Amino acid sequence: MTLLHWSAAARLLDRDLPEGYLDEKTDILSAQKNVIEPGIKSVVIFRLGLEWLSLPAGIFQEVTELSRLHKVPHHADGALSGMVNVRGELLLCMALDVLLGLAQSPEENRSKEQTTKGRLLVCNRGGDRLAFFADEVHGVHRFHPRDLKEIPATVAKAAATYTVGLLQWKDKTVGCLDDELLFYAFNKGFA
Amino acid sequence: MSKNSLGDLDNLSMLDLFRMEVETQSAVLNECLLALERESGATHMLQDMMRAAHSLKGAARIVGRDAAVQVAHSMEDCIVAVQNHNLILSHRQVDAMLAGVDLLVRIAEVPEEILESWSAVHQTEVDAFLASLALMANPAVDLDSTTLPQSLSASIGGTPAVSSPSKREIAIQAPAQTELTAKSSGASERVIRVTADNLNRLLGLAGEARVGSRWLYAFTREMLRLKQYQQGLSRNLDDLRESLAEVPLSKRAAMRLNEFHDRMAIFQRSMVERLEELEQFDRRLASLSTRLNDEVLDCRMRPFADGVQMFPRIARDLAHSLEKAVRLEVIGESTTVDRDILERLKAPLDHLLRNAINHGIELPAQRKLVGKPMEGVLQIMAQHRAGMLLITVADDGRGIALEAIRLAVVEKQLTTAELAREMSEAELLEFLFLPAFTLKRSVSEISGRGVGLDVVQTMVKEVGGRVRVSSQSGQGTCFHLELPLALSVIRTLLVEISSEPYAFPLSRIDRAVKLPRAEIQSLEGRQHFTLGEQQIGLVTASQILELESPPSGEDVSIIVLGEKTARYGVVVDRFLGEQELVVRPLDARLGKVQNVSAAALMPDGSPLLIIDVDDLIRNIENIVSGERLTKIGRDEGGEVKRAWKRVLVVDDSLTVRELERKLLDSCGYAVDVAVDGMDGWNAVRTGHYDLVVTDVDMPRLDGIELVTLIRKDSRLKSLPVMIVSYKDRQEDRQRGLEAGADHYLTKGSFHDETLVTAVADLIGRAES
Repeated sequence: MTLLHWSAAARLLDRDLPEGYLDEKTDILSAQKNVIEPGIKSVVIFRLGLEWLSLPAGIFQEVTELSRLHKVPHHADGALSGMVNVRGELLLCMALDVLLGLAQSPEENRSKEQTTKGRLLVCNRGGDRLAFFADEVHGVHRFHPRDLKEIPATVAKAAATYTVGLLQWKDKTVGCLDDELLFYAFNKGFA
Repeated sequence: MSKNSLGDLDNLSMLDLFRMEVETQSAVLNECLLALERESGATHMLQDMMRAAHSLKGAARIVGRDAAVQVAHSMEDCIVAVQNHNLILSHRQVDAMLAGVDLLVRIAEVPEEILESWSAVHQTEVDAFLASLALMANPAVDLDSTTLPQSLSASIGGTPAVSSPSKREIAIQAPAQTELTAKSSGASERVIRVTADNLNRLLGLAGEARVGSRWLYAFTREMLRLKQYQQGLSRNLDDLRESLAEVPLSKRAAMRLNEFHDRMAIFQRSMVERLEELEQFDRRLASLSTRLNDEVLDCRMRPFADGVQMFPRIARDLAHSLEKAVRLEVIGESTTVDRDILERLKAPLDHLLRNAINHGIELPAQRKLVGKPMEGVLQIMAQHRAGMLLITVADDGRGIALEAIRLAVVEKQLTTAELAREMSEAELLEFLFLPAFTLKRSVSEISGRGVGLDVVQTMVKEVGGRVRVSSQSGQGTCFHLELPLALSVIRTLLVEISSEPYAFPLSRIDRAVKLPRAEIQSLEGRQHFTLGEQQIGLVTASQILELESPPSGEDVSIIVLGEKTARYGVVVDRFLGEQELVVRPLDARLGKVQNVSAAALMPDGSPLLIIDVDDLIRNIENIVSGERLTKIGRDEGGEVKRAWKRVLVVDDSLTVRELERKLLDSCGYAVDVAVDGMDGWNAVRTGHYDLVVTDVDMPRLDGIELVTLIRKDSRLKSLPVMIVSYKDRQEDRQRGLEAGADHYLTKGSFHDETLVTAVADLIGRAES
């Protein structure tokens, strides 16, 4: 009996390698390592009207479905678009398009899209919390700061103020926003 | 990702924790000492005191407050002496020990930065105290001959300071916490501290769970409809089978039909079962989420005892200083009170208590003369009655002399002598609540403190309650405070304004009416309607709130607000119904929002705002009296302001910043300030400035770096920048100018015209 087991084990261990096994392993070992370079930054990419924008991933607390907005009287225009309920907490909602001076995309397109792709993004930057609406959220993207491009002079002044650089992502150009300045401007709106 | 939501006690420093400890233990010590003074046999109190003093000593050692360690240690010695019957606690000894408690509280309050200098100044006081306690604990010395140091004796008469930890925190406990009343101790329930933020978040989540369960209920209803639809389908199939029975079918078709029928039956059974489960789950979830919500709301409640624990001490000290004998009785210590209300009750109760001891209760000799016991009794009672919290403060003193009020009312020309004579007791007592109305000619140090009963009235009104007073000459005075049970839950009328929900507190609404548009009259461009005999002016809510006006319908929905003499009708889009709401504070960044007091959530989870009725009425009055005209004028002023030259002043010194701001402001420039370089860099990018005036040495980003950044920015590079610095060496100047500053001034230049002239040279005078 034991002999039987022994010979079976020997057969198993001594068997020939499967077809292509060596090549496969060689390929894996010789392939260039995907080293994570120091200084890599990650951002969340989202769309606002016609613009693709991004903010550092670290400040995002969650991305959630749209919820009903309530305007705050006497703050009708400006950086505050109102208040939203996120998991039972009332958060201030930033009018990012107003802050950046972006043109609104056509009204009907917007409302249709908002129901499917629209998201509410919740940020927490050192205890300062706020939310804002985006028409579409792509997700997290990593890049090296050296890949950031200068802002062309054609970009609207208000948007350029808050943009630290442009990023190529797929076939789109994404504006990387300055989160510190954005929060500063938003908070100062009610000082 | 939400690491930051865990902001709880971890964020508190050791010192904060020490202060909390002092707050808790000093209350224990105070209470035990007072109990021992009344009843020297209450020896079990000694153990509690020992424990408290010991905890304090340990905590003080951890944070390195040596003075507190010494004080706590000397108090321990005294307690040991009492335990060994070497020391008897009478008035004087209790005074000394109480002074020790106060001293501990004071030491805990000293900010870390000035601890060293504080210690230097107060070490002699601490030493003197230690010496006096050492004498007390040592039985060989005649106790009565030892005197307390002057500063300590003085502090005994004062209010014991209550330490306030830097972060707002609250104590939560299960109901009926009666720890350390004179009779029982040790059997109290465990108390934990939770930050107010955490509790609010918990409240939010519990509310959300309830919203979720409401959604599930609606969903279950929908599923029931689906089931009925499916039953109909099944009946259709039966009908079909019946009518096909007369038709000859192929064997194959008959088989298919039977198969269809069987499957339908299985599906139906399973549907019914799943639905039952769903309904059960829905009921369970609904009950669970309601309980969760109630329980969290309950956490906001604290026993009344927590809010009054400092009063026995205050009453004792005050009575001693007036040479009166007063016993304070607190009844209903376990009555639960909303923590916010409890907090706000402290000042009014303190005032009523001092009033009663000072003016109400007579001197022992006088009391004896009229046949009352020498010791006066002061009662503070808390009870729930008819959905309200009823607080009663009653004394058995001389009562309020109605004739004195009558005289004072006439003297202050509040009414005529004839009318005063006609007034009933209740009417006369009402005058006591008028601001600055007092029967004492000179405001007493002890109870007057410059405030009258109007403070009590104001607080009570603020939380939506009322206050009454009754008095019997020679028998005593009684104040009744009727308060809502919880500040956090209010009953409201929900309305829609500009297509969004708003809530009016029910207690502030005179009435709500719906009128056909035809009944609205117009006079000189102002709209009004008739209610009873009164003409009531109308204003639209959306106008006051500066929101878009919705298209007007057939009927007009009006909420009537205000007092009898000044009533206004506020037009809203429509009424949504009555609703009980859990009040949420507004985001602190918003500051006070005009006409809005707080926020809340609708039953479906969408946000709404609660109207600040007082604010609203004030605004209506302004509109009615034509104030809106000035508002338009202000807008024009704003236009002019935009044409002014705008200057940004960046300096980390408040003094310099303000000096520069005032200087430039007086010349007509519009000035903004930034507190450091980074703040300045943010401001200069988001605002539009004609000039930046900056300091050099600043945290985060210094002036040179700021200038460099500005010069590198394509949009800002031509913005004039001026450096104003203490550094006046040639190389400093060189550095600033090389970075790109247009001008370099030293700070001495405030004293003459140099700064203003330099600014004018760079960007011209303000007016142009």
